[in-house]
Amino acid sequence: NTAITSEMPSGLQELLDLYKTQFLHFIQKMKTSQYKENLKNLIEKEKLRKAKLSSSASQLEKQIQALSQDGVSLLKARMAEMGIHAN
Amino acid sequence: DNSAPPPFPQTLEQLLERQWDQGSQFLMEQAQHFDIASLLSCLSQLQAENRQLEEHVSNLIARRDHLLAVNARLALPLNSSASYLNG
Repeated sequence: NTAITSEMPSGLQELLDLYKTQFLHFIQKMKTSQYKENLKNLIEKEKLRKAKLSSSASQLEKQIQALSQDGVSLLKARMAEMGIHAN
Repeated sequence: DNSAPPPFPQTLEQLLERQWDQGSQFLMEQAQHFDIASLLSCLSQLQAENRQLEEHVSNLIARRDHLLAVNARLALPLNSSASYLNG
């Protein structure tokens, strides 16, 4: 552990300083009202997307139910052609 | 606190994942001071829910398309199929 801290690999200090600068810059950005407004807008956008996806899922489920019933009717018709009557 | 620090990451993936987690946690702690932590959590949750919904819709579409194909085959009268076999 001491060996690690004493021998600073080339470029590591620059990398850590870069991380520090990036974090400080972003924290300043997080303090702005514009950042907060942007978050609210993104949340509204995701809420709309959720409503849209939920509506699509609901429509698809209805279609699948109708297609399943159609399938049963069609199957019975094909069986009737073979002389098999399933009621 | 008095708890021991977590062990050092043993793989490159663990190291990068650890840094992502620690960076995220640090920024969320900062966000507590700026009254946006709840917005960030809300957005993150909505995005996760929408990813799940998207996958669900994809599965429903695949199932609907499968039923459409099956019903299309069932819609063909058997005698027309038989004529294909004889012809």
